[in-house]
Amino acid sequence: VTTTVLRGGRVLCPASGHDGVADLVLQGGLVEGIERPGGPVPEGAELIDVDGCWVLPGGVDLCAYVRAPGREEEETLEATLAGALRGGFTTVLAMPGTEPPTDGADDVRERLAAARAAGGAELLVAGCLTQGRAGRELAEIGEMTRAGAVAFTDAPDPVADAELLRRAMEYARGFERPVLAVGADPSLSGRGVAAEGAVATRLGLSGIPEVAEVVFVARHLELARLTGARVHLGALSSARSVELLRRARHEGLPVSAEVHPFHLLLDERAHTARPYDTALHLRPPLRRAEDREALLTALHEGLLLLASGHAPVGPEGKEVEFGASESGAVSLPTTLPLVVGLLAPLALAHAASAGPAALLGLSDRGRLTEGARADVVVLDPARPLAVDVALDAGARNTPFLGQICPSSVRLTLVAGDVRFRA
Amino acid sequence: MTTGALAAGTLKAPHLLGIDGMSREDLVLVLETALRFKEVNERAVKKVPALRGLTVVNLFFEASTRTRLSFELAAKRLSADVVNFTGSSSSVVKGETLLDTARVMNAYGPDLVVVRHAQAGAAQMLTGAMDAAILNAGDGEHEHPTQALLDAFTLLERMGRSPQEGLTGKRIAIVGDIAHSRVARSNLLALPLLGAEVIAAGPATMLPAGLEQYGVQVTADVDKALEGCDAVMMLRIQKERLKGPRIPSDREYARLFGLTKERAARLRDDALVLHPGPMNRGVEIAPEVADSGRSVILEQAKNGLAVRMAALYLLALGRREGGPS
Repeated sequence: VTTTVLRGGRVLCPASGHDGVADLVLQGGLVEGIERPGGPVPEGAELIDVDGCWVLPGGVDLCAYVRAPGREEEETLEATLAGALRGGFTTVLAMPGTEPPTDGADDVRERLAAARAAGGAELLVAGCLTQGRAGRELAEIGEMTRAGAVAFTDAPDPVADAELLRRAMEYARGFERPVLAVGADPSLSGRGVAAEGAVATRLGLSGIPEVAEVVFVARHLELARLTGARVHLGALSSARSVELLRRARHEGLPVSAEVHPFHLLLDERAHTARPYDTALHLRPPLRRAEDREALLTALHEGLLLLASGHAPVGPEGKEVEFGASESGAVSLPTTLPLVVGLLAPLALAHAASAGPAALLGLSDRGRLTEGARADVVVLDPARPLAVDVALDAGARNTPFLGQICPSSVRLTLVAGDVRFRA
Repeated sequence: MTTGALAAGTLKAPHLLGIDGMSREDLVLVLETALRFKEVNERAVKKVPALRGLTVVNLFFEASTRTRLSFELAAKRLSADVVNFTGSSSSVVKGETLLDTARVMNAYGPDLVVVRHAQAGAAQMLTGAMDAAILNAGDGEHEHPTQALLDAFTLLERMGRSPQEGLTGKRIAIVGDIAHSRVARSNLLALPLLGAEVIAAGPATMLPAGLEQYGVQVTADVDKALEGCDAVMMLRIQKERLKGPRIPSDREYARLFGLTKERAARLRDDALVLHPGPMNRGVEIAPEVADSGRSVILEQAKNGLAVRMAALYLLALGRREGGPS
């Protein structure tokens, strides 16, 4: 049995509320306990000095558009899962929009087996809500659940048929699996590529109105009320969506939501500064400064969880005209290093790890209490990191290319095993 | 005519991508230079050696006969060597990307590149892939700067104003599908910069969000917009918009938002009517109005030539005088 002691870091555990300098003892792939700093070390233990660093439960990412299988030219599975570890995510939830889509038990088993062979962070799988993500018939949600799918969604596309969506939500509730509501009303967002408003108008880009997201959010909240399904809203971008979520939570609805780092760090003014830069083509689009403020406030309040929204896109989708480009940005390697400083460390541990783990029903992670899986990330809040370096050999489409993250990941451990070391 | 007699300065930017970001000084420089070229166009021999030895490439990815012809003729009157490239900018037709085309064209070493493309930002994209000065001849719904310049030129000329004097005190209505119009976007920037009071009008479904940023008045009531106007600029309505959710029918559009004979009769006696062309007669503009004495539509075409000569000339001059190459 191997023992590792992470010595002298600021240990942050949202489950127990622990926030203080301590030694974290890991044994046999599990958390043994949080000990007084500098105490005796068990014989044969590996001692790693993490003085000045934050020690958090490993990140659990709720939204990664993993390109394998089908689009490995954008990013291979190995590269995605290695990038996750570099960014401090030990668990990654893969969206089902692969080619072929993950819409049956065999697909789920194949994805999980491929990921185990690939190494890196642990991959979890979301299954399709509807067959082939086509929005016409229910997918085999029950069989996929038995095969290991932990959530259901047609992300990044919405289920347009309200009756089908209602039934899908009821059905998923029966298996105690959450439904991830990702997208916007397609008839309102149309072929838009940027947030509708003064900036898009000036640049002549087709707009996606805020109401496309708000109507989508309202529809899911009301269906959650009706069906009792556990609904998690994919990336929010608008202040009005946040308001609806806040009210629904106040009313006790079983709903949650996430935000992606782009919408916390950027707003539509980025398009004015970098006109037609396709790295800024994101979904949802970058909105007004007020929206960004509302998202930051909601994150502080604990109303929003943090997810990467990782979506690698190669040159074919990005080195083209803005209106013809594909949305998305790589994000797993940089999400945590970029957002450090935006919220209190314990709140970060909740938003990026404990909250997502609870949503997915993963009781073995998202905490640093005794018996939890020893998935740990050690962040150095004071050592900056160039985004270019963080990306390593993976895909490079990010609006932050050339910039510096204020912090960096120093170590990532999966089940007690050091899988990444800066 | 020598270049020395013409040059009162050069443009600040190495390219002409839009009116956005241009100073009034630069706008005036183009218009003043165009005045000189208009004289050239009225001579028996309409050719000057200003761009002799330089190559102009017209990259037209979107069907356009008139604008391409205007640019081609402008370059030829300046004695440049001109080649035309016509391609498709449809994303459905998978082929060479815009950047690939640009890189190939760049290998031929053109001095000036005129580009028309269906996607906003296409002209700017070329600046990163080519060494030539780029002139935007219309990029999606973004801008069409030479159209705004020729509109301003026509207005000034007919109003007896010099470019320096500008359009202060003049009230100009831009009417129609503002949302999808690059001509409108360029004019919404150019006309206020020259001091005009501008009013944007059209069905509410065609007035995009954020028009207030241009410092113009906005209304869905065309009759109100036309009250006391010194000029009205009618925008072309795209055929495909007539079927979309934004307007019920071409009939209703013509009656409520078009420049009908009746509406034109209520204009001030000296009010001018402009249209960037090609016109949909009987939809946004009644044939009688288009052909009336207040219509300056043919003058716009004529002035377009002089304005485009001026733009090409000034961009070439900027390169010669040590601007970025």
